[in-house]
Amino acid sequence: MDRETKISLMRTMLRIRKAELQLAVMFKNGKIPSGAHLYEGEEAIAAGVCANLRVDDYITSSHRGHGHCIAKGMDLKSMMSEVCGKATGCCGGKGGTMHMFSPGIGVMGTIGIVGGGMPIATGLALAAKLKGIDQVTVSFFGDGASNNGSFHESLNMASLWKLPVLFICENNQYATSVNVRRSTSVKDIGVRGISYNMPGLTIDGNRVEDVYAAASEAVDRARSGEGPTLIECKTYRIRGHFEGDPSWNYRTREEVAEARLRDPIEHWKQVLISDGVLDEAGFEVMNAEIDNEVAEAADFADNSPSPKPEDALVLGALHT
Amino acid sequence: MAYVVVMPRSGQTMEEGIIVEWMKKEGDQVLQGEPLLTIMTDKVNLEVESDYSGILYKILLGPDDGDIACLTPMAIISQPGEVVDVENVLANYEAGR
Repeated sequence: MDRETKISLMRTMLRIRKAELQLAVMFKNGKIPSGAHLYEGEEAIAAGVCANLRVDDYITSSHRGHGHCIAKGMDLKSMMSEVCGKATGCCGGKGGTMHMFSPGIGVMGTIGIVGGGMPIATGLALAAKLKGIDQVTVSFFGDGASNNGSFHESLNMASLWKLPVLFICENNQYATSVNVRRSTSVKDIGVRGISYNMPGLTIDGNRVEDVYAAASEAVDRARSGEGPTLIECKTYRIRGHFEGDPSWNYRTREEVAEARLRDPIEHWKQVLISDGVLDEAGFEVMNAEIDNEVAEAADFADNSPSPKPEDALVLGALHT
Repeated sequence: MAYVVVMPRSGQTMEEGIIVEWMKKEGDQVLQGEPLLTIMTDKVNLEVESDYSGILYKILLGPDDGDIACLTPMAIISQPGEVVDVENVLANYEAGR
């Protein structure tokens, strides 16, 4: 991995982390007219996968989708405004956190229905194949979604037709309040690839270098017509399922504290320092730059107008 | 930089909450993510975690204050050693609401 990529991965992870923490504050302050499912602690997956994608490659995302949008290149102002339901958002404020689309940069939806993105991703990949173009689609979903019918149907069709798609399972240990051990028949969801005759990997999703390497190989396979890959990225959901979820009735503080020790950003910072790519001072400069960017985006969202009632049925703002 | 801690709107139907107890007292150091206080909504008892690291400078409301409307300031968090003009911080918060 070259120096530029290493720094870019750090920048993407920090941008996601800081944007999410800012949205947590905005949620408490009543600025978000919906629920909010935040991605803190899982940043390495979106960053590591999307760093391998071109602008014209597609992603489908889940209810926990802000990080995927940022990693795929969405402007923070557009993202935060959409989450706040403002007219300046990527869907004119009519979609919100769980309906964020931006086809121009390949974001084909943060989809609130669990498992809903996988059939769409499979369809997008089929379209690319039928058109004869080398576009790749990535579907991000959680451990809970891997027990849905849509997972199994999508993997089967994608493998049967050798479609250019990556199935990225973000195993953050919890489907809402249900631990993966209580809901899932296999220890490693990656092994489910075998059932559908495709490579199935299980990797440490908190190590951005591992995610980057696995996704790189899978994207190459997809682009060269060799078909889909399933990659399970083990991680941990640091926050409650949604903002305001008192998660202490199904998990312990010790478990969360222990998970915080495996922070993906701290890990990558140590790697970059020991590689001589970045020092503390450089890291602080990057921190300050992104703090500013996030604060500006939050102000922009806050000061943006709401969509006008008379524009409720106007689609002009969408699909740009 | 001083931050206002408000009664969070922890759900789309939540209009008000009651403070059950403060887990920190004025002058205590708080870290981002640490529980500050427990509130009771019409559905659940909930710990409110701090979004900021700093000092719990001033507690404005407590368990005796009954129902508190969402977004009402409950406390102010400052930086260590910072002297805060509480009235001014609250006025700025109101202006930005």
